[in-house]
Amino acid sequence: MVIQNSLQRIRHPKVYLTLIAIGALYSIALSVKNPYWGDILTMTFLLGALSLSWNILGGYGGQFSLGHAGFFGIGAYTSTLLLIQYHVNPWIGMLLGGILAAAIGGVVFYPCFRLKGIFFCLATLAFQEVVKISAVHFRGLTGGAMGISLPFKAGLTNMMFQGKTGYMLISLSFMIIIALVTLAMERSRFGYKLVALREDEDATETLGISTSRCKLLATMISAFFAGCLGTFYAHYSSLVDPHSVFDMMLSVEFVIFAILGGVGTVLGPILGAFALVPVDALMRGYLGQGQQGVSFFAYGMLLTGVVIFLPQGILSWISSPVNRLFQTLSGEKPRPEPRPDKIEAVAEKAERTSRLMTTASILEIAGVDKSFGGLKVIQSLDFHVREGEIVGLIGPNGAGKTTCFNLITGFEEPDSGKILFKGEDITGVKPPNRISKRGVARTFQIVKPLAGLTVTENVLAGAAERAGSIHEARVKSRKIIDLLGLWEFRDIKASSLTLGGRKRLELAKALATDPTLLLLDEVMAGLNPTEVEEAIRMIRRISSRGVTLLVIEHVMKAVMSLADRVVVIHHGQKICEGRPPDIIRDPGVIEAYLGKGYQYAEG
Amino acid sequence: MLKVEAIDIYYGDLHAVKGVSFQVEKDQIVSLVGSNGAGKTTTLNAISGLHRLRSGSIHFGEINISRRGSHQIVDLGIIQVPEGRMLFPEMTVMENLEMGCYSLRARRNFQDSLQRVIGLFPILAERKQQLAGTLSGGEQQMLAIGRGLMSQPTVLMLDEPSLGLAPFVVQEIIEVIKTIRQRGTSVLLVEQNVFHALSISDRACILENGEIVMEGKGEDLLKNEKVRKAYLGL
Repeated sequence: MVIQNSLQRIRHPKVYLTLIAIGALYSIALSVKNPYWGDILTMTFLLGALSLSWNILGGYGGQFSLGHAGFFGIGAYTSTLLLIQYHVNPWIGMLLGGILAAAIGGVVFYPCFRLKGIFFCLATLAFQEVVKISAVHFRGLTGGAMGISLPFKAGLTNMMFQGKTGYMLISLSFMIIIALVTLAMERSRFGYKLVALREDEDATETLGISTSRCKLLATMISAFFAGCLGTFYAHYSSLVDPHSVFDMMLSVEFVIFAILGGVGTVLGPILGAFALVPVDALMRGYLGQGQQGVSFFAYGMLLTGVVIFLPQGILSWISSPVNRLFQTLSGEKPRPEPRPDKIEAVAEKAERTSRLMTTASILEIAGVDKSFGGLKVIQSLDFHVREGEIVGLIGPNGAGKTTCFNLITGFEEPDSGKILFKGEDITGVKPPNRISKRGVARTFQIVKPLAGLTVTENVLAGAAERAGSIHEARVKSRKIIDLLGLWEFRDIKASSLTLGGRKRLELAKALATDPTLLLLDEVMAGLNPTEVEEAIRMIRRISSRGVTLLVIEHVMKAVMSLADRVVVIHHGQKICEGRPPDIIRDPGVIEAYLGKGYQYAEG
Repeated sequence: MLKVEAIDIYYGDLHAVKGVSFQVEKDQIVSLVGSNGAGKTTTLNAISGLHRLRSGSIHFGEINISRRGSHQIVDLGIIQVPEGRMLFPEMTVMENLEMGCYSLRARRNFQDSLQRVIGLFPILAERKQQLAGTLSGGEQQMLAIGRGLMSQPTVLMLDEPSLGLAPFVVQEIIEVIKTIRQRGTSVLLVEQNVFHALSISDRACILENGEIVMEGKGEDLLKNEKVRKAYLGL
């Protein structure tokens, strides 16, 4: 059975072409005897592998590290010192170096994750410089700026060879192993979570995914491989010195190759290294003999050219012809995904509301205050939501409704008061993923789609956290996507949806987390009255599955027909609470919110 | 005055706007109505010069503006107030208004424009020094419209001005749109609050999947059975 399955897979052109490519690379490595070319190929494979390891954190996770040469050097020094002082076999030393790099990476980068964007970059750059300076400074251990020479003893166990063939084979194998690990990661639940956090951290947190844990794991995998490769490099050049292994330009190169080839893809970094390393070496060889610096100039021009003409990387340029080739070769059309069966009708509102009067409260807000600076945004707010209810939260713009959601979901902490969910105190529980894990999901008023991902991938990221397997997560995502009428758009990038589509995607992502309580922040905005009707039906369907809803909405038509109960807030205080028909007759509500000209009929 | 003729717009292979034609005359409010994804915002963006036309033309008076850059179109007096306001959140209210008065032609009339805008939205004068990002939703929308009016446009295009606003603020905005027209600026309106939009429009076009399927006087469309069913949910 297993053999049959793998035979089936090999028939797919993606698989056999990859195998052919790998075979071709190995035969090239075996046939090249010229040491000059051997060196170029070894460096290409090595830098390709390093760029791939950077890509795990930088490309998939979106954490732009400029300090990866630090991990590379830590690995190189660790195994070299172990070898020289304790005669530890370099292969074991390599693993230990990788593990140490991963550990240091975890400890140093974890606090840096609080920094965003360019500041994270700077911190990682500083990390690398600190390691480099330490290596220069602690002469007794590291040999200072002179570095440490490794004695030459040929043999596979010593990771040293006569000629270049052995090195080529090892570096190529490293590159392939890291590529396969990346590929496996890309398709795993961890991979989806990692990519999700790259697109939007807040949104990912509300899916119940601990972004800091994902980043930590990615750092450690990434640093581990960079560390292992450091050992290989030390043996290849039989010298470790701070200025070559901790070189800032080296860190920059990892990044450049990945960007050039296609960041956040398996093939990108490899393509980048294959395109640039040989060109760089050759230009240095030929142009370098003439005017000094001409090779740098040409290299710079080449880079600039690629960035201008192929801003998405080489891979984006070749991917559509390659995909077409795959389709012709396999001779099959892309298989349509099975669409789930249609779903049930919904209970009448009147009968619902009376039944709900008796259930226990699931969310309780008790005497909550919140100020920003001197401004009191929420003032001794009290209200509760019963299990199974749909409660509308309305009030003028700036009344504190969204802040209220932020307090419940752990984005903000109340100054005083208590928030209870299912009887448990969740006041000030942070970060937001811990609230989400308890079963509270939310949407954002300013929608936060994972813009670079498709609709399916958006939903999958949330489903992956809870499902037992990736397959289970896929099945569940399909159901949710269909439920929300996004089926036709499932393979479209979230960024190209219209506002209405993005609002529905917010809902889909929230539902993917299996919430017991769902907080909706203006999901009806930007819909026309007929679309509002559809959305109302959709929310009823969600409610009929046993989800409790707290809904911020300005579209009164939706509030009137959905809500079992309405809470009105104004200047952060509750001014009224009750059934929808009573609310719209309340003089206070008309004064503060509806306006005198309001008529319910016009919606 | 503004004449859109048989324009086609594509996103890659997707035919988003299909042969749409309509006109905005002086002192008119014209509405584009339709579901999400019908091509309303795309049409506004095309008029502003943010999308290239595959075919068709857009004329402003005698001038063909279909190949002009956005800043040139702004200079001619066609201003778009985008969906979602797109203010400069880290700038003060005053600075945002100044940004709306950027072109040389507009700058000469700065004081005059400012007085008019403040006349329309007195709250903006009170909030002059406040950062735009800290305003409430309704105030932000007023600022966005105010910024659009600072260059004294001939045509003001409003993309969903009532988005995310409390009911009484929506009523205020609708009143403001009427006042803007009275003061001599034509308005091209995209609005999901179809009831309000149609009731103040001189003309309206209903867009479905990138095509105009119906057009007429606002009041007439409001009474039309199809429109009531498809867009008013009645």
